[in-house]
Amino acid sequence: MIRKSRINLKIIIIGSFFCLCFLTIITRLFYLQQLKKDNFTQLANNQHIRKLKISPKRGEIRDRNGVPFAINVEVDSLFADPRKVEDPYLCAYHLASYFGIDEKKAYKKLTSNRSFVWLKRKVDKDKTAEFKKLGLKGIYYKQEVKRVYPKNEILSHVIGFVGIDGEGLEGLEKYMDNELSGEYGWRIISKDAKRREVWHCMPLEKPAVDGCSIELTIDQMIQYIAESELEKAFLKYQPIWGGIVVMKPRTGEILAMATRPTYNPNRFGDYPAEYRRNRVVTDIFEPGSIFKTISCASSLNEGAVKFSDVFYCEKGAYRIYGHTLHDCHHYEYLSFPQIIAVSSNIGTSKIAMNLGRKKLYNYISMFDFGKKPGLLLNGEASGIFRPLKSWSKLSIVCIPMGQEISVSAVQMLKAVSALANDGWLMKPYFVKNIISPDGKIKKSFGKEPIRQVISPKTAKVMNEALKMVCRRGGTGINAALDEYTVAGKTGTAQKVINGRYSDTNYVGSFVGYAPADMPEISIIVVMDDCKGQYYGGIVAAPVFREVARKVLKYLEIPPENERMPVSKNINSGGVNHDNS
Amino acid sequence: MKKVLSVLILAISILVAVSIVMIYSTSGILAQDKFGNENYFLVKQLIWLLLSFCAFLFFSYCPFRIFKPLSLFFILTSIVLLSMTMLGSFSHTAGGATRWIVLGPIRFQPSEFAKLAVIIYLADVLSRKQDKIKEFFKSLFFPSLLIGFVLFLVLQQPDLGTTVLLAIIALFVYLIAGMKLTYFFLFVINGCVMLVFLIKMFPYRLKRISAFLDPFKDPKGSGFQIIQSFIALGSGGLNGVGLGQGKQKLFYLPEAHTDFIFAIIGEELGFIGTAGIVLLFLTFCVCGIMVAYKCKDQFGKLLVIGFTLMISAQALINMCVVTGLMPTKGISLPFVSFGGSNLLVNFIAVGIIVNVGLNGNNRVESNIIKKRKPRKDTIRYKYKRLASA
Repeated sequence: MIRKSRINLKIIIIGSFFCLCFLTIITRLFYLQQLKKDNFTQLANNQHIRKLKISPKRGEIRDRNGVPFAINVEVDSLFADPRKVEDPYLCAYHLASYFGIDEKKAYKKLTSNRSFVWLKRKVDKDKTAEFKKLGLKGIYYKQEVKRVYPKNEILSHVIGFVGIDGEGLEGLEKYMDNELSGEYGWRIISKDAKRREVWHCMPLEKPAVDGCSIELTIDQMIQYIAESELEKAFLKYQPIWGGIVVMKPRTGEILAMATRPTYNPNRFGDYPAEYRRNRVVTDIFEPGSIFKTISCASSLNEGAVKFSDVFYCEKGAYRIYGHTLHDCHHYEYLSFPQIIAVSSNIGTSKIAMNLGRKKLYNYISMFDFGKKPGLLLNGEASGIFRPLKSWSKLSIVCIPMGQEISVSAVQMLKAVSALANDGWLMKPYFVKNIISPDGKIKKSFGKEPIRQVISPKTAKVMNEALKMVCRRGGTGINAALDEYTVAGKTGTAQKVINGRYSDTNYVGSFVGYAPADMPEISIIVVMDDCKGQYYGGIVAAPVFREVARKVLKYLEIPPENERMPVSKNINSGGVNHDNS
Repeated sequence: MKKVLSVLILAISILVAVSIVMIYSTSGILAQDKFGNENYFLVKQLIWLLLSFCAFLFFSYCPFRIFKPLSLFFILTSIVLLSMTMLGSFSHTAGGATRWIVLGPIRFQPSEFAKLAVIIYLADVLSRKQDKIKEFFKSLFFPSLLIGFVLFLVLQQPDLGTTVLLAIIALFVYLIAGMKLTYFFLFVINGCVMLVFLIKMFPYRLKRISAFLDPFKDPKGSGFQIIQSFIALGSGGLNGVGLGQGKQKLFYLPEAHTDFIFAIIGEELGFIGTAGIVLLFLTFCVCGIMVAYKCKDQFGKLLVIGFTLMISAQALINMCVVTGLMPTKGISLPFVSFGGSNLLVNFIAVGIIVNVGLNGNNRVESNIIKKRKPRKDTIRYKYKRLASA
């Protein structure tokens, strides 16, 4: 019995030892499951839960009649899991023949040591549909959205383009990226260790908000007219660049805006960067004679001159402040409208001197020179307009005829349009509406008068003077139309090269509006450094004429009764000379 | 005594019930992925469970004393079976270890039966040589050699976990039976030296040890399984994420339905679940010890204590591995993990415990056997007399 009890004692000791072990495990479990709970829950979430991005639909860009300029097309992107590719040679061969991928590169990708490689992104669906029929293993397709510009080059500078991941890189696509791109949504999913999505007990998600569409004031037809006429002139005169802007002077709506050289936003990578610049907005130039419209209108408005005033034009050479000012022709006495019509430099400077420095400065700033025109585009130039205190003595002579001041084409058109709009300066704009995805108008842009710069009376008088430019004896005879009266001004500005005014490089330009008495459109044409001919009356005015005629016809503006007896056979070369 | 036994059976029933639910929960997706049938492992386990239950009924009614004369036969059979795993034609290899014998549709682990055989054999030998127990070389030397051979065969598979488990059980049974403490410590020291040697010899075991010491040193390699186990346990918290809601079984935690099922229980049922399982095993252990304590028959006592320690130690080792208290071994959680042979063996063991509990102090039964003996003797005596005559 003693041994028995001793055995039982040992049993109890060993049993207690085991019980102690069990209790240890409970303690350990408490440590792991209670004290360390947060650590491990964090680790668990890291490997189980993933946040998926949901891409929104990018908004479209349409013209004023709803014609799409930028749309989204569903495309396929090809990728491969090299570990599952069975025959990389065959795959590479087919990829090369179907999509034009380099066969060697494709083979290298297909035999790489990764589990994911892009093969070709954003391929049209019908192309991949054929490819899918081959049934190659290890090659997969991901549906993506590609931004497509159906009009190719048309309006490309305004629209801009997006990068491969849909981020706006240029033009309106960049400036309005926030509106267009919408908001990313997300979804929380669980995944297993093989990275497959598994059912989640309470799926959390935030849907994507699609981007807003943008409606422009641009009219596809007018844009097309402007582009094709500009293209013709661009090929004919081969300037460094040419630009045209068509605007409604009464509202400030921009109807067309084109620049040459241009590019195709669907293949933007194929073009040099300077082709992608929207030069009418970003590039500045000395306006030359077209600026005389502004200085003369200012003097007229202030009463410094009257329509009937006559100025002595010094027979073509006027010595002032140690400089000699030249006209092309040796004019003697010219009336105010004649000065504008023949673009006399001496006459203009005398008119401006009547006005005085300070008032001239005030008027030019009231026309918003030196300020950004406030279009919804990046890289807008504000031009160069020096403050009064840094004007030299000669400035009162130079600035009125468009030297010592630099403007962008849009700025110039904006100012001249004020003359066509009873002296009211309007803010130019080309975005009409921002339309939210549900079709409601989120933000609307309308006409925005800035200020009245000159009185309606002055505007009327200026209109008469500018009409004379486009009559026989005026520099802008090439801009004249049979059906409508045209008011405008030519400009041929010497370019500043190496700090000096060049005698061989000019910027030819024309700015004007039609019909003169009931202006519907105002247009500026700029041709920078043409080869051969360079006078604004020759290189730019005909572009104005063709565009104006076609656009007015398209807009169904009834032709005016009073037909202008204009013969186009006049040898314009002699008359149209205007000075820089 | 009946109360103790019913508590014991209740504890095991609960464990088995949890096991069925958890095996379905943990293996469903794996089975769907591998075999296209989410019930594959569940059905297999249920068949084994039915078989095990029959075995349990059989062994709880069959008088345990008949094992006494069969003990040597058992251990020799298990040696033969273990040797068969070394012959390619019957064996099945998984995970680099040849632990299974394949006979038609049945596949079982002979090392599991070796456990039973070793305990029965030890109980028999130690109860017979009770008087000479203090003299090691007269009583325990030969049985130790035999058991050492069995251990060697199991180690050969290789199955270090079961070897260590067997060695621990054998040592504890020796100790209880009255072996001198000096020998006990000699065995322990010897075992430790062997263990160190074995670990040093095989680099993968060394890796497991280093992963055990600092699992976060190589979280994608050797420490992966234990970290995944921690994540499963830790993310469960107090209540768990809910039955079937666990994510670690989605191929994150290897062996989720076998060796690491306890971790998934921790994830899905939380600390309440895991502590409950531990307490159930504790209950089983205590009940087993009480049965052993009350049993007056030396053979029965050693049998019961052997089996109780076998199951308890296995559960302990498994839970220690899952909670990172021991380096990874291929030992499953008794009654809960998926695995047929182990379930069957454990049920046989419980059957025998119940049997001993019911009949251990039953004189009548022992008398029957005692009565038989003289009869045999008389027959033999008759032969002898006949021979001498």
